[in-house]
Amino acid sequence: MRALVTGIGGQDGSYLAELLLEGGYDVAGTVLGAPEDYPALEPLRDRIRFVELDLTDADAVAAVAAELELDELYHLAAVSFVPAWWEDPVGLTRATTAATVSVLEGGRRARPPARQFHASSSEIFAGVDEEPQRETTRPVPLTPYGAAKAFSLHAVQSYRRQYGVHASAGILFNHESPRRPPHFVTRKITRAAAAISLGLEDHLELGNLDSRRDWGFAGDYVRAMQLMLRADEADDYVVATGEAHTVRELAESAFGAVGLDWRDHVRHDESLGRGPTDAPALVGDPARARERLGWRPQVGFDELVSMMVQADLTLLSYDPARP
Amino acid sequence: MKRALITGITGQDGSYLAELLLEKDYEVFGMVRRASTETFERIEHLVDRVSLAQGDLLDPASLLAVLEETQPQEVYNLAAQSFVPTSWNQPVLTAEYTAVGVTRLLEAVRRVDPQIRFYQASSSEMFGKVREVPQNELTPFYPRSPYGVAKAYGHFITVNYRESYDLFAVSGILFNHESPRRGLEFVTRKISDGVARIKLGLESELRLGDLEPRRDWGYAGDYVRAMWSMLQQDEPSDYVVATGEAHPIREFVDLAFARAGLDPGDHVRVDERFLRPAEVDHLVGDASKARAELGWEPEVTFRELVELMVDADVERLARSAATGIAG
Repeated sequence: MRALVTGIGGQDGSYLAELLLEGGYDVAGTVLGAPEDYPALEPLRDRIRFVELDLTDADAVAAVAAELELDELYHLAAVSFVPAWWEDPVGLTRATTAATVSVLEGGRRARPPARQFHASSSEIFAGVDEEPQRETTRPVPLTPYGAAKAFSLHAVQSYRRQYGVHASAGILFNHESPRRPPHFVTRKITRAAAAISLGLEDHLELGNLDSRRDWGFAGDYVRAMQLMLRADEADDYVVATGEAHTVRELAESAFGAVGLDWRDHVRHDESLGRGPTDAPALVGDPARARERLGWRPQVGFDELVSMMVQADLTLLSYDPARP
Repeated sequence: MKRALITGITGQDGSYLAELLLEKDYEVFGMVRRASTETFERIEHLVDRVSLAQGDLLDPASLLAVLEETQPQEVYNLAAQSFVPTSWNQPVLTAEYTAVGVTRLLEAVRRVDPQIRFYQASSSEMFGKVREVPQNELTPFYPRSPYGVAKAYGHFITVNYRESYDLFAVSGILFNHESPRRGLEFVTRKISDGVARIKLGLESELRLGDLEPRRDWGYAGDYVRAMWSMLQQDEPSDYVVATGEAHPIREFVDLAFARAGLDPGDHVRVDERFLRPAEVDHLVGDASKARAELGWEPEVTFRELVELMVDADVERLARSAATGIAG
């Protein structure tokens, strides 16, 4: 099997690359910048074929898909840090919408056509009152990122109906790992817990402690992507654990993993929150993925947090001067 | 004197809205593209009374310049690549213009003057394969074309900017609205034009696709009143604008031929080539919120709409035949 992963240098891209390589795939990928910029790819770099591809050019996508004889195309490339979208809403929207449509169009035109996965996001449900959210829930995005990800979902649906292409969208709820960049709240907390336990820092400032999120492990979520492309019929799937935890619980778990009481170290700073565009609760119902794809997350909440704290401990304890 | 800026002023809705605003003593500015291929036919009768400003939804700097130059209190974003089949041939351009263009204009409004009231022209195409009948402001979107996908994005980003920046930004979800100024590529106008040609002996048949899809068709002149009204409210909100009645294309055909004293059975040919892919089914709008909060009511009935379109095309073609200019 041959697959192309856009954004292969990101958290999800690197986990997906590992999964596909383990499965004996020939893996190609695109990155922004150079492959060397992405530490997570270090152990895989020699086994990935990196391609230069303008993702907003449908003809180029079709040409690459044909040249590589792709069976599968995973479109993950996007800026997923929500606050960044308020800094450049036009540029990021433009890149995201044009790439989504071009990948759909290029993948469709390739002969034979490649099966496609597109990453949508639970941010499309930021303004939704009902809980949990499922595939049939009406999207109410509150940010440019959410609006662009609703665009992706709708574009996949329209291409599937129009051309019968095998294109699926994953409505991915928050998924984390030690490879999350440190400006995301999960990693910010696990890194701080590790740093404080090592005596490198003494406190952590957090915004809204009451936000509730459905946090899963990225390594589990990329399995769902692959299962979607293996299913006979393409469809859209919520990928989530179904369990919600508050930011407060995350802090409690992270500090607990290093034997500390979070209340001694976390300070609340309202200005760090996302304000009115921060969804109070994003909780997914993964029933469709479970029933039709047989997908189940394997890493639970405390296990995920502890894995991230341990990774941060290792990272922070590493002293390059030591033999 | 209030000032309003209309993008897409050369389109059907833009021309009716410009007329309405002029009646209300607005100073009206229309944004048009440089090196434009658009025709000014629909606003020919208004050229002395509206000012045109050059700007392009693809070019953020031009949007800032137009807003600074015209200093509007109200902006109506009606420009779009609105023909659904074209959106399948040009999906990337459709997204650039119809989706990203809205973000560009909202950004420009926010920067130049956040007090500007902003109207976004949304469309019933966003409902696509409808999840419930009739559709209201809370019905989920399930767009079936790149045009519908881009319009859904435009709606979401308008709501985003309202909630995040406290802009007076509203989205009007307009169901099909027609008039003698509808482009000939749209089925209603194709029918009225075709009937007029047959009546005048210029053609003998009219080729159409599937006649069964039902649409909620209103009169564009009525719909622009709803747009204006949305921007006069105390609080910004989104509204469905529709008649609430769905009619099959066949009924439009029957009424149009009857108006001309003709029998459609003698002239209509169903042509497979015109069958539109992914046909949207059973779109019918529930405009009760607009009725209750805006006091809006459509004034032109379905029959009146068909008849005024046929009459206008007969008159236009008869005039050009008389002056020797082929229509």
